[in-house]
Amino acid sequence: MLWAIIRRVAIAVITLLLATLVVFAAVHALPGGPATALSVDGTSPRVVAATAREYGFNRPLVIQYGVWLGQAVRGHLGTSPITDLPVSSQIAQRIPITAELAVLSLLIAIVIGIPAGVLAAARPGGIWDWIASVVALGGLSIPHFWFGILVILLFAVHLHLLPSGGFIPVTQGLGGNLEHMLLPAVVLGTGLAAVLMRQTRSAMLESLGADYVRTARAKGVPEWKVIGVHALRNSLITVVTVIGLQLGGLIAGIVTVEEVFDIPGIGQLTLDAVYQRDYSTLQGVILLTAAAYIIANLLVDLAYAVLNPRVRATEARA
Amino acid sequence: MTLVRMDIFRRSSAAPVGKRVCAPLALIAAAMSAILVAGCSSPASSSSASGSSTSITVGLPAAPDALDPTTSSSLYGRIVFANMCQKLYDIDARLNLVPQLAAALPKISDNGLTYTISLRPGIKFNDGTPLTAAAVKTTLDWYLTDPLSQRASELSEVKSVQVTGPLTVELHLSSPFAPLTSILADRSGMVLSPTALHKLGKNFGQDPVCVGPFSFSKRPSTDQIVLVKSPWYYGKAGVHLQKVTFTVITDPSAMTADLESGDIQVADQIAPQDVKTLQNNSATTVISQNSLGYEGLDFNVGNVHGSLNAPGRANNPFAQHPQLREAFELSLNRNEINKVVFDGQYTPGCTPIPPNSPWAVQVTCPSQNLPEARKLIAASGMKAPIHVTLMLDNDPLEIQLGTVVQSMADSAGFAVSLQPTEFTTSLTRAQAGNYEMFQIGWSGRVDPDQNIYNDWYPRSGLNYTGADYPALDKLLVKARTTLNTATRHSLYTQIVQTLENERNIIYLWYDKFVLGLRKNVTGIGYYPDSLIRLAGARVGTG
Amino acid sequence: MTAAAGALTAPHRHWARLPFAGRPLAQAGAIGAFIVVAIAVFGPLAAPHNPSATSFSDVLAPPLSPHHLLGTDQLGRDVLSRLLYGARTTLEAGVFATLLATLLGLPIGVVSGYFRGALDVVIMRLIDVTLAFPFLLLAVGLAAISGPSLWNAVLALGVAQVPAVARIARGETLSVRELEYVQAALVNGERSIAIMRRHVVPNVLSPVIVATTVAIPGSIVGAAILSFLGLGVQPPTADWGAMLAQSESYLNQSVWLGIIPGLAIFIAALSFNLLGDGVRDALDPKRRR
Repeated sequence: MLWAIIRRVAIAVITLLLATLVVFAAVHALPGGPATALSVDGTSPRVVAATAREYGFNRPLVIQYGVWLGQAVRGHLGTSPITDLPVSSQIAQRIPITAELAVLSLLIAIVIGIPAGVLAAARPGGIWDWIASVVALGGLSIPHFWFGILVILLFAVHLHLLPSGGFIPVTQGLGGNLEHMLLPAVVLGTGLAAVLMRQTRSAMLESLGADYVRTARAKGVPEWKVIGVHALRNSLITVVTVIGLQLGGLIAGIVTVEEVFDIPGIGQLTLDAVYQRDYSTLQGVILLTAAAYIIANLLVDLAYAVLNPRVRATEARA
Repeated sequence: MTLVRMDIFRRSSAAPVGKRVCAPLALIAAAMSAILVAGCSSPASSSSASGSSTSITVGLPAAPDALDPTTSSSLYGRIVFANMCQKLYDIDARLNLVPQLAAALPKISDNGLTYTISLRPGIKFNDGTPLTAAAVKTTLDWYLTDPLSQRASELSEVKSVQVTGPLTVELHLSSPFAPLTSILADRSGMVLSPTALHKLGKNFGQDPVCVGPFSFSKRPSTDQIVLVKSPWYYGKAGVHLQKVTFTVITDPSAMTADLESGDIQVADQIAPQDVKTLQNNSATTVISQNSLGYEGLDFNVGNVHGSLNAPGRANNPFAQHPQLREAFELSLNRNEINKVVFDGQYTPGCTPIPPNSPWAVQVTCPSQNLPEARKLIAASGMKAPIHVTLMLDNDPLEIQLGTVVQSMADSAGFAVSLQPTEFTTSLTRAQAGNYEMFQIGWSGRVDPDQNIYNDWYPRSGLNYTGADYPALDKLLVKARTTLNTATRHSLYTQIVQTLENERNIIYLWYDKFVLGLRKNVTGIGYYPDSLIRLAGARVGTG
Repeated sequence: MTAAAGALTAPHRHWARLPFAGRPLAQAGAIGAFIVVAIAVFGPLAAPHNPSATSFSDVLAPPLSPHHLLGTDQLGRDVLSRLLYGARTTLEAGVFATLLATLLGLPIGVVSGYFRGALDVVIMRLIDVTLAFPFLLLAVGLAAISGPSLWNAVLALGVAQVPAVARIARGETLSVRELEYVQAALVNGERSIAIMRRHVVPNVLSPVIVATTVAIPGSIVGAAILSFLGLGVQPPTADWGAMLAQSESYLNQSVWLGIIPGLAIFIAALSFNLLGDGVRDALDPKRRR
């Protein structure tokens, strides 16, 4: 087991390196550079060349990557060629905001999605299955931005219950902070909840049809235990995988939702960096999101191993 | 309207971030404003807008770049500088050049090659060190030599700077350069504290020190800049505010909502559709200024090797047959474009000098004339429809503009296909000559030379169209080296006529900037350069 | 339906006779999806106007206007016609992206899960790399390089979904290859390719189809988002997401401009989701035993 963990961590690190390499190449493939984005008089070649020298953009990509990696490993992400501000502090400013949004929406998704999925699978075709299905499918079918607009119209504009957007740090009051985060988290969480509900239901139906469940039933295990323990435990394998998978989607969703609700998080920082060809900031941000994603998936992998005895056995042999 | 050659951040490379991607929020707030107009108050306003205050928060639509006058190229940076980095000269509300740190307008030698600038005595930088002629020389030398300097090209005619007295400097020019005073009324005229410059060098932007009513306090993140009242400012008796915070709100509708709720007191660049909302709100108001720049369509006429290299003849019908450019212009209806796309709020026009400029040239713009346009197409020998690709910014309003142009040109026999392009990419392409038609503008300057020369003189960075007209070049050089105002006027009249005949650029309209403010905010200086001058501002009761 | 679940519902369902008989939700979805597809195919024939024809004297007409059932937009274009034409581009983006994802993801996942070991590790790490790269950025980057187009949107959306399909296929393959008869086939020395084709793929197909049916409406919504952000179709092509984006400045005067295309996206996605749910139940191999 320990060996498996070490192996997976090592693999995660390699993945991270691959991801940053891909991003590095991709970022530099975009037309123009920070000097173009900033050019006053149509990119005077003198200033372009000087900017390139200053930030090392004129060196071969491999070398640039090496230098950047060497710095990044030591925690130096450089300064932005656009604002001259250190990248790490810029990112550090935004992380708590986006992380809060992500965690809140994931919580909402789990709290709604998994019980709804179990409930729906317990009596397929029953009234709860219906309701859960329709709601979940509705949730899946609404584009984030559209849903965001609808809830803002309802809760902010009509009912005056919640603010329409913006962000207040926790340090300025938890109430105000949550007030601003609630709608975005709900919008982001509903889509996730719908996915989780469907996958939970689907996995539960599979499990409930499996031999061991039939055996358990035959042995007279109470129905709640059959569903809640035997079937659910096995279904969670799929569900955990899905949560892991959703993280990628969550990041994309966060970008949209941050824009809709005007939340100054990582998503906005990223898009700004793309449009301004702020290579340093972009690389820093992507390194961070890729790391977050890969760590989350590492945890999912490990959870997978714990939850699925068959995989555990295979790993033990490996 | 989104594309501005200079001050890219104004509504361009940074604005798209807000504008394009924030479209959803614009949608929301537009929907909201419908209801707000109907008499609802802004939701969840955590307003603190009662009682007079010594601090003010200004919303900017995009983040300024580095706060270093040497490398700065964003309009938003200029707005911040307007409050902490004063210049040798400034403009007043009627676009006259006036002395700011200088004691008077420069004395120019008869041959136009020597500018003598005397400084006001007793002025101190915001670190307490005195403003001297030596400091001016240090700054200008730095502007001229720093490899990352965006000022060097503006000051390229300046050969040397000489200190001739404790408060007197002489600028020696390689050739006469009429726009120089106006250039010294912009970032090139900001004087940096030599102490700070010595200490920070190319990191000056991390803690900039100049002369100004406010001094830089901190920039905790890209989108927050805090200034505090300077104890060293010569006019500090007239400064009422203790603290100025600039905060970035990328979405235009969110900006409006924040102003209405009182979270901010001043909002830069209110969107046309929100103007009425603010006018109808009893707590807010707007002031507007016409832009000093222009917007138009560039044709690739001769940009075959990139705008910095010698022009040639581009391989497209509009380059081969100049009458097609005329036909294209005649297919467009400027008033209708303004009405349909900009709600009639902008000013249609056909020259690079906007009508509010003292240098404006009176011309009658050609009106839409489809039969004449078709005749010209027939005369070119080309068979209609003539295909052309219009590169434009990828933003809903731009696309709407493109669609209107497409539809108008279609009636004359042009098949326009729209190519929405991310802004930095479009600049790269325009510069390389990799386009046929491009919607772009220029944020504008007081001196007409600065609105024309770089677009039309061969090998200038902004000569995207590959203009190469020797007669025009002579006029352009003559106009920038002539100091006599009346002579310059008549030269620019000739120049504008030449531009109108060549039509490398079809000038279409002039933007209008709208500043939104709480009604209790008074004393803001807001001139056609669209900078926000807060030195004399007050936030009153209410 | 599983045996256990079957016991909980009506005993004799002759569900095979009519598609989705006794499943009104799936039927509604089927009908809705059919209508959406029909509009995508025949809509342009039914459109009363040219969807790109502007009329600057007749802008922002409200729905139920004399010549415009759903009104006109800010450029005087007929909203109904744009809606009918837009169905095609919107649907194309969704379907092609999903197809692309399935064609790439299924073989990748099956091969990875079947062979395990080093190959699996390499493939899954590459998949992780793809997943760690937000698809929105991919779309933004593609659009920055080559401008917005339907195919860029399809490419970005499709590639973005490959990992999901591949991972599900792999996960299922891992389970399936432990089943007795697959192990038996292995012991019997059947060729891997044959085992994958005969035993693995059929078993993996069901969950993958769930994933793809979930993905079709997801792609429709995704395409709408990209289009809404200006990363989708080239203007003035009619497209629901683009219609929403273009309506943004006019919502205070004409709310319907934003409501109509938004509703269209929602209804189309919902129909496909309901249908996909029905397909999932119908294709469940265990129910046929």
